[in-house]
Order: sequence, then structure tokens, then C-alpha cells
Amino acid sequence: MSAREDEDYGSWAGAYALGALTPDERNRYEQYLHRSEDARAEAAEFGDTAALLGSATEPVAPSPELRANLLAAIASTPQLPAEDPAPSDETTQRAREDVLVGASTLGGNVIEPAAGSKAARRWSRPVAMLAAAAAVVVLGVGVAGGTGLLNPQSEQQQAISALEDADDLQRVEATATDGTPVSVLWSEELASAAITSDDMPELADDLVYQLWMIRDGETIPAGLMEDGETAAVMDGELHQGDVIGITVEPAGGSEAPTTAPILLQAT
Amino acid sequence: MLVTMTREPERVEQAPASLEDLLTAVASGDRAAFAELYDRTAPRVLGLIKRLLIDHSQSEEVAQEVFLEIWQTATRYQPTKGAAVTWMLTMAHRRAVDRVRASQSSRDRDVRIGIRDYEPGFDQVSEAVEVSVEHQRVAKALARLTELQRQAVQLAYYGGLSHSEIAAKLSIPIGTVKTRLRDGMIRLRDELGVVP
Repeated sequence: MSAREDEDYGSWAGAYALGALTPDERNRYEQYLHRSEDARAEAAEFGDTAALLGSATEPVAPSPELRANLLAAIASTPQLPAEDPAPSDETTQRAREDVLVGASTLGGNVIEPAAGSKAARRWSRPVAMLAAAAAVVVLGVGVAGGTGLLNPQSEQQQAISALEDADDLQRVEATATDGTPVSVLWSEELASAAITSDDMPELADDLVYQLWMIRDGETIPAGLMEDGETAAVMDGELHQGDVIGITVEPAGGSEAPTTAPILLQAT
Repeated sequence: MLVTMTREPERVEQAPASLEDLLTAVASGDRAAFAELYDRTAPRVLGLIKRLLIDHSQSEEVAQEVFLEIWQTATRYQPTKGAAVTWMLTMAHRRAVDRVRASQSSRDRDVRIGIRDYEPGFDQVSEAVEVSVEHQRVAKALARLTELQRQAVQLAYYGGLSHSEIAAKLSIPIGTVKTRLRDGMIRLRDELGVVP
């Protein structure tokens, strides 16, 4: 990184503290922060300043349900270990940092894209527990990459049409953790499921959406949904009671989820 | 009453535990401490989120995400590196901005920004009667910025706009936006007496 580029980064301090950088710019700026002590000091001061802007907004009383939900949720939500995860977790970390907006050093304190960070805290308790279980499952036999790739659009369309025509079609309009509307379709008769969404946020080049079927405590890879795709038929047979999940994974997919689900839907 | 886990409280507060102490207790899995932390900070956290998102139920969803994240990551908070409220509000702001941007592709994004522009007081410092001391302090400091700096800072922080969106909206180069944001923050920092 040249001194000249670093000079440019110097002017980003305000935008960084005010949240006006894109996630990618934010990552680059944070790398710059590691190199510059002066910039770190400024970032800390600006972070405090921005927080004052934040505390100056009109307080809003939350609903009693919010409190109740949270207290119920924390009872089954594990906390991060105090230390950084083992190096073997690198891919996970990288994927999280790329997608889930990255750790921040604002104010000198790390804000982690933790396990489940950007994740829906809308999960009901059992589903949250399921997800926690899913996250630690390591599959004996992995299915990565190629086998999980999408069918050509036309085949996919046919499969989706078949699903839509199924007598026992179930369709749930769900919301991913970032607010993106996602439709989940399935039919037990056809033992088939699909995801459709017109608005999946674009991912970095080395990342992909991966679909999962969660069954009896096992998390089974069910194909990928590449950038720009608006629909994906899930690989494998859907069993009664499966939970369908979506995570963001390194390109090619993972054998087991390495990030928190952005969507979980019970069938 | 909560038993604090720190050996040496950094500052002795009134009767109740400091937010820093509470967060430290939360880090050890203390759910009662979490409940107290929530009770003392939720209106502020939700207030900030709602300032960006406008919609109440969406704001509550994001607030729930934020507090769950606080529960999960309290273990990573270090009191020596900054105030608890800064840590929490930074997280809240970031999640709110994420949510605002997530709907970027959908049409309601423009609609919402449009609505916000016409909302009275959005582009100026609210001089509302019933405001907190903090609010008055910040309002005063904001008033010391140039009009252009204030506009850029507010669009970024309260509007959740990225610097390129601000540049497009104001028809000025991105470099100019960055400079305005930085100059604005320098002036704010000095006016608010934020010490290094």
C-alpha cells in the first residue's frame, strides 16, 4: 500500500465514523487503520462523536414484546468465546468479514460480525437452537462445489413449475435477516423445495448463497444460488419436517455452514 | 442488585452499576445484567434505529438483532477501549444502515428517502422543546457547522446514505463529500469536547 493511497484514506475518517462507507470500503479503511496510529486515534474520537449524535435522537419506547422476546432468546443463544476463534476458522472469519460487514475498530472496540451477528434474531427459540446445532455439525461426507451447482435455468424453471403445480404446494413468504423478501416453496408429495427471490443482495465474487436442509440435527448441503439468480431448486429430497436454511459461503460452497443463516424456514 | 465482576470499577457512578459494569457482567452470561442493560439503553438504541428506518416494527426488528448481538459479543467488549454506550450505539447505527441499504434495490428505498426529505426537521437541527441535555448539546454543536457540512453529516448519519449517494443527491464530487464529512466531524468533535 503506497503512502499516497494512505494519504487518500486520511480523508475517509468522517465517512467511516458516520457509516457512509460501503462494506468493502470499510474493510479497506480498517486495514489502513491497522497501519496508522494517528488514524486509529482519530477514528476513536470520531466514533465517540458519532455516538453522541446517536444518543441525541429522540428516545423511543420499545414494545413489551421486544423485551420478552429478547430475554427468551438469550436463554438459548450462546455467547462468543472471549478469545478469537482458532486459526482453522479462518475461512469462516473471512467470509463473515467480507459479507457480514466486517469487524469494526470504531471507538477502539471491536464490533464483531459474530456467529449469527447479522442473523435474524427473529428466529423462534427452537429454530435458533436448531441453527446453533446446525452451525456445529460437521458432516462426515461432504458435498462441496460442483455437485451443488445449479441446474440450467430451463430445468430449474421446469422444476419450479412442477412445484407450483403440486397439489400440496406450500409457499411461505419469508424475510431474510437483512430484510430481503424470500419465497420458500415446497411439496412433500414431490419431496422437493425451492427458493425464489428477486432481490437477493449481490455478494462479493468469492462468495455464494448456499442452501441447506436441516434434518435430525444434520445440516445437508442442498445446492448454491449464484449472484443474479432469482430462483434455486434445492438438491436432494426434502423429508417431512426438514428445516430449510440459507447461508453465505465461500465460492463453491461449504460442507457445513460457516456463517449464521440468513434465513431458516421450517417445512 | 448486581455484583460487578470488575476488580476496580473505573468510575464510581451513582447507585446503579455503570453500563460498562453491566456489559462486563453480561459477558459472563449474567441474564439479569442483560435485562438491566436493556432497560436502561433500549429507548436510546431504538430511538437511533428509528431515526434511520422510520418504520416502527422494522426498527424493533433491528433493535432485537442489535441486542442479541450485544448478548453474543459482550465477551469482546473491553471497557478500557471505550464507553459501553459508544459500542452499543455504533453497533445499532451500523445495523440500521445495513437495513436501510438492504432495501436499496427495492423501490420503497426512493420513496422512503423522498418521504424523509419532506419530513420537517430532517435537514435541520431539531429545536424541539422537550429534549434531552445531550440533544441540546449536540444540536448546539451541529449549529456550529457550516450549512454544507451539517447537511452532509446528517444525510450520512441520520439518513444512512453512503458517500456516493450523498454525492449524487447533492450533485457534488465524492471527494468533496468526504472532505465535508471529515471537516464536519472535526468541528463536531471539538465542539462536543471529545477528548483524545
